[in-house]
Amino acid sequence: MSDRTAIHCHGISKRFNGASALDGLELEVPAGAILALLGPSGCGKTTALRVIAGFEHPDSGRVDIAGLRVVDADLDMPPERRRVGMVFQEYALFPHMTVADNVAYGLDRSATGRVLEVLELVGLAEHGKRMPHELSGGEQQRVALARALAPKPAVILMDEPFSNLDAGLRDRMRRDVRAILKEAETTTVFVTHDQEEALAIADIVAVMRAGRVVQVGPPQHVYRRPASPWIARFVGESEFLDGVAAVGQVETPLGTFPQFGDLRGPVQVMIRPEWVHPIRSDDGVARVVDREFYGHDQLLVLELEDGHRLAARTGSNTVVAPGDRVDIGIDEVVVFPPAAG
Amino acid sequence: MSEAVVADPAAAAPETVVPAPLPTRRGLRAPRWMWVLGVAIVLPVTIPVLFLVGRVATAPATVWDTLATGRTGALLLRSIVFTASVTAAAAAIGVAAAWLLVRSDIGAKRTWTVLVSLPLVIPSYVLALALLSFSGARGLFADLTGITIPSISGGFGAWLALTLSTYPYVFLVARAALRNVDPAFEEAARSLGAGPWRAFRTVVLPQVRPAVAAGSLLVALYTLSDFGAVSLMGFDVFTRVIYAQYQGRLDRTPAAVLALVLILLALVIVWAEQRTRGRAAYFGTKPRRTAPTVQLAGSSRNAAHAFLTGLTFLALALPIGVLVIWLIRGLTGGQEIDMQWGAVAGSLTGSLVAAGLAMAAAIPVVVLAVRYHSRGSRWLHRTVYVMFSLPHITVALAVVFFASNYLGGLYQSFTLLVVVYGALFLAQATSAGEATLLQVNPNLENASRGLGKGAMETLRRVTLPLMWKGLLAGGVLVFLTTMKELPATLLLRPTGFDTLAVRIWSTTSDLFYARAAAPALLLLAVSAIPMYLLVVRPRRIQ
Repeated sequence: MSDRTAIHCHGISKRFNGASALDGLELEVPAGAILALLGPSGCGKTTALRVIAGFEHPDSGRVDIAGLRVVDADLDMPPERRRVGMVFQEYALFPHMTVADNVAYGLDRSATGRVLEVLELVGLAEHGKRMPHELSGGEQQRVALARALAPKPAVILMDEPFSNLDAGLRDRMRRDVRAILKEAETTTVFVTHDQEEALAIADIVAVMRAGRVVQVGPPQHVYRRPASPWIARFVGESEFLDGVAAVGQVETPLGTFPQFGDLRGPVQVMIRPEWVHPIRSDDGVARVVDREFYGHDQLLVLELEDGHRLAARTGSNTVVAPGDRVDIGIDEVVVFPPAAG
Repeated sequence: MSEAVVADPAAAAPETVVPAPLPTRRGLRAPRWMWVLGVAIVLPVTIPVLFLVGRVATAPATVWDTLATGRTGALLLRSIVFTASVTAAAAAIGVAAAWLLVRSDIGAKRTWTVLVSLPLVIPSYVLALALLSFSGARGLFADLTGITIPSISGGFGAWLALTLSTYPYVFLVARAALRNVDPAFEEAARSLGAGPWRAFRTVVLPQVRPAVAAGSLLVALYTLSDFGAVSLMGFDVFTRVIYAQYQGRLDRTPAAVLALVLILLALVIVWAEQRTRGRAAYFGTKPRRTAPTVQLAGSSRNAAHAFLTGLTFLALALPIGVLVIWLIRGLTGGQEIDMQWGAVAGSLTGSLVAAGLAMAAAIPVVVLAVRYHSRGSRWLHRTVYVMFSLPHITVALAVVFFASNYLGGLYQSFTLLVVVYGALFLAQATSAGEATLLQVNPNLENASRGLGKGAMETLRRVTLPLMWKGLLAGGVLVFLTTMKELPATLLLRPTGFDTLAVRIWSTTSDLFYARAAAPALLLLAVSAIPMYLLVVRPRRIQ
């Protein structure tokens, strides 16, 4: 563990009524980073967040925050001493206090300047005297973030921070929250089940499954080089073909591609739809059988000679219509062992 | 019926087409017959009370004589201090018990919750009777053990009896409110650096405060209105003095003056409680998770058990035990078993008719308040609640004055008695009905109107079937309250009409304890059934 590690979780396990929520979780969060804990519901991501915050005590394992041990076999530091700022899914703004009082809750009485400072940071300097229910959803979220940031915590934890916002507001709040967190130079862990959200905001994505972290890395890496077919399916759209691997390459019905690995024999080959480029050609290898047009792009369903189907995401200007025959160009493929899940 | 819609389709159309965020039909006017009914319902109480005001206003000399004596000032002070001390004690007990049974890890929570709620069915005068006959030189305790404990009577006795019979009002609402506080609030406070006690004090307590204030308001009004317990204990507060003045003097104006002062006091309390509600919005929604329980250390666990055991003993086991012992003694002493069938019949018929009347009367009030927002419907709604908060003895007195002057035939008739019951307790039926109707999407009624059905038919075929369960729950409450009612019954009952409450109250000396035991146990048994439906198994009925 280096000085630059803000949170270090080691071997955390937690069971609820016999059901395992965390199963030897390992997680390191570098200082200053925004890390997304991404996983389907029930994978233990919220439990992991609550263990770090001190709302759940793990059955085993240890947690360090900013170099300070907060949990191990004989230690359970209460939440108020961990220097952790939590932003709750439904914000949990105290309904009986004004916005300013909410933000001041974690501060000493004298620190009124700090209240204005963080409210300015989230762009709500004028709203200090309002009550929480008088604010819009996006404003409530900013207040929740300001309240968590006010005591200058070592880390900020956010539980499904954007799930309560409607779609239009969500995109804007994602950008704003990322900008605020970067300006505050804080370390952040946020939990989400939305892969798009994780990829858009996080510096580092940690994919969780069944109580463990199964892959950690920058968003681009997790997307381009998923560590398993399950991750490939969970993070983004994916198409699978059968192939046969040899040294440095893999053979598929669509041609031969380079292989980044040393698998031999039968393999699964994963392709992202936007890596597939259909080119109109009257004697092409596939036929376009369906099209979903989205405006900014479109999804084409291609049928190969052997009846196998493949999706291609292309720009909306690609002039291909159902019924057309096409040739297929492919950027790259990812290869997995045949039995991998 | 539907002229409002037909006459002004433009006004109604936007409401029926665009779903409004609030379930109201601001644009639609209520049918006139509904207003006639709604207003008629509050007249049996409002007219006599206004008449009382008029009568007092026309006798200024007597008013000043009554108010100028130092006794009235002392009486006012005593009533205020008494009400405040009962309310404070009931609130403290109620909140503490609710916290233990919601948030601590104490065992057997369901059983404790039932035991702690049950004293709700024990009227204060039954508790007073039990405490009186248990303590003192000739009490049951001295009789059984040979050890004399001081007599529990007077101001202390009245305070104890009322505290023990009213704390469940606070307990039940505080328990519901504590369960509905999202644990995320407490966690947010903890992660912002607050310890467990500060988090509870600054975040949890303020959120249950409106509920506790509402429960405390009920306690304060109940205490102010109580007649039976203070009379048995021989403690002079307003109700007892008013009754004595009414009984003992030819000129009844002094009683009327005191009644008006008491009414004003009740209104001030209601107003004060309204004022404490701040700007904050409290959400009644169920939180997603239940808060984790707090582990009690050994010594606090013992203290908690002692508290709950002591409470259950004093408020539940003692009164029931004392009544049972008296009953057995009466039986073995060769006393005739008097099952008091006349009083049982009187209590049951009076309460059933009152409950039925209140349920029927609640319909226009609820529909007007929930579906046709207007200044008028708000006033009607408020009047119903103010009627509920008036001490019964003052209303009964007003009705006696008015009826003996203007309603010769109805004076001291069964009809007048049940009409007054129904009007007094109407708020219990309306609040339950309101809660149900608020859950019903108004577009269901709009759909019926749109399909060509008039207001009356819509009410009969759509609104009522959807809200009758709530009304029924309210009717059960009215039944319970009427069973326990004493002072209005004493003043308004027809000659020969008897209730269990009257029988118990008339047992003022130890010679009669054995005789009071049977009606008191019967009263508890009859009240326990609706209480079980409402508190222990609310899902059965709602």
